[in-house]
Amino acid sequence: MVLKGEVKDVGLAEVFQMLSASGREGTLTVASGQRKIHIWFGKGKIRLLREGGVSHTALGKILLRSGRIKPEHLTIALEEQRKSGKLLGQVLVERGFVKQEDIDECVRTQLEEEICNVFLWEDATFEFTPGPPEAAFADLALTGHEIPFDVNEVILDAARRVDEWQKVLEEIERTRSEFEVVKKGDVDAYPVGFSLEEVRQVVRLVEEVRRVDEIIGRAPMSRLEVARLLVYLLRSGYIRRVERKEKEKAEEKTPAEPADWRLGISIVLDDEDLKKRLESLLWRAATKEEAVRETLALADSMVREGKLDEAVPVYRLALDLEPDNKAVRTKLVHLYVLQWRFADAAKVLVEGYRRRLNNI
Amino acid sequence: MGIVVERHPKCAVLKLSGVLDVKEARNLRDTLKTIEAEDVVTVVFDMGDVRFASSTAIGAMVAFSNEHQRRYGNGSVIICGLDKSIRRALEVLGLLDTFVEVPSLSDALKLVGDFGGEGDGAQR
Repeated sequence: MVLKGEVKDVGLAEVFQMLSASGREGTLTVASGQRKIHIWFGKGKIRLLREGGVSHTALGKILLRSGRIKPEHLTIALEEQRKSGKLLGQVLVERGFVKQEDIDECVRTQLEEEICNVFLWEDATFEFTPGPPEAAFADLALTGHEIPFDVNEVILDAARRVDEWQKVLEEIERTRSEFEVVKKGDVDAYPVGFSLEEVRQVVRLVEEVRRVDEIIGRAPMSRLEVARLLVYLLRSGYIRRVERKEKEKAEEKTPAEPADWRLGISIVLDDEDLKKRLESLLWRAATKEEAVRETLALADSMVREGKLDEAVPVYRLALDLEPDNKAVRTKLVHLYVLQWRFADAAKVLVEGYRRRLNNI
Repeated sequence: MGIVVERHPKCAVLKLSGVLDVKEARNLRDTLKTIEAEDVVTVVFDMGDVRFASSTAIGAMVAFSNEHQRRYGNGSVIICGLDKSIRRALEVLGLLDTFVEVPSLSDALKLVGDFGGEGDGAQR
């Protein structure tokens, strides 16, 4: 039986948890437009499956970036891998350049990074095919090895990466920001873990397309890596942000607020007393800002009294009132995690990330 | 997974471990009630072996700490051995200052001036 659906209906975190709980072996394929990822679920293990024999240079890159190997070690290992057909990780371990634990950690990082990206795909569909990996993925040399898998841990790690993404995005402001190259000529330095060629590629893309989301879309690196490089180039003065023209700014009108900001806010709660309290708070508040302030004060005081679970719907209301309030979003995410509601935590995080992307 | 109470000459140490889920939170609340009924001035939460703490468990600790500090003054509840993610959650929620935080149990005992005592190791 094939399980399929749309991520917007079910939610990827829920799909992961469902598959983990069912303990079924099979391949989950998530697709969005041209992008596609295959994740194989085994008993307590997970593996990324790749199509078309993608090389494992990504592993080498991650090992380099984390300072676990030297560039010359990677060159030697890649050469030996080419001759022997062994896995890159296997060669590196056999040569004594790294320990197996380092490889496991890097594979995990790679997996988290890719899964994090999947969490951010819009209009994605998923399909789960039970059974062992298809023949196309049978070659371990191409598909990499398995890592022990705790679904909640992976979701949480993915969520943490989204969080990291948000911080990097803060530096480059918005994905539709535009940049231009300031220093002409070749870059003479680059951050640890990146190659000069990678930096040059990003600089070329800044020259060609300027807009961050397009640069990210075209660069042959992960989105986080490109964003990190842009931050580096920005800080080093190689590129600068292009001020948007006044006319464009004028066109950038915020949508009009509904006549009454209370419209569309619904309080669904089993606790009738708390529900009444929140409703009264909303109706007493003269402005939305005041309502947010009061709601937050109530939620914070509940937390400080030790009523963490009761505070969750109150923070949720505050976030509904002010969806761009990062502090509230962060608190809500942490509370969901503490309630073991990882899917909700990931949803709130991703929702925040998407708002940032669309916040033009 | 569990709660072990060690009674030292100058404090009671609650050694918590494993996953403090809703069920364990109930046990924790009962244990804290017992401690509250005794004349223990300083209480130490040793979180060194806690892998996950639920909101209910943290809520119980916070409520206990508030009440205990009202009776015995600030600094009467110490927390140690906090895992990075639990610490981060407490920080984000503004709860770190509910306790006096020290890195390890030995630091906590030094702070209390408790250098002896094996504790009775009563396990719940």
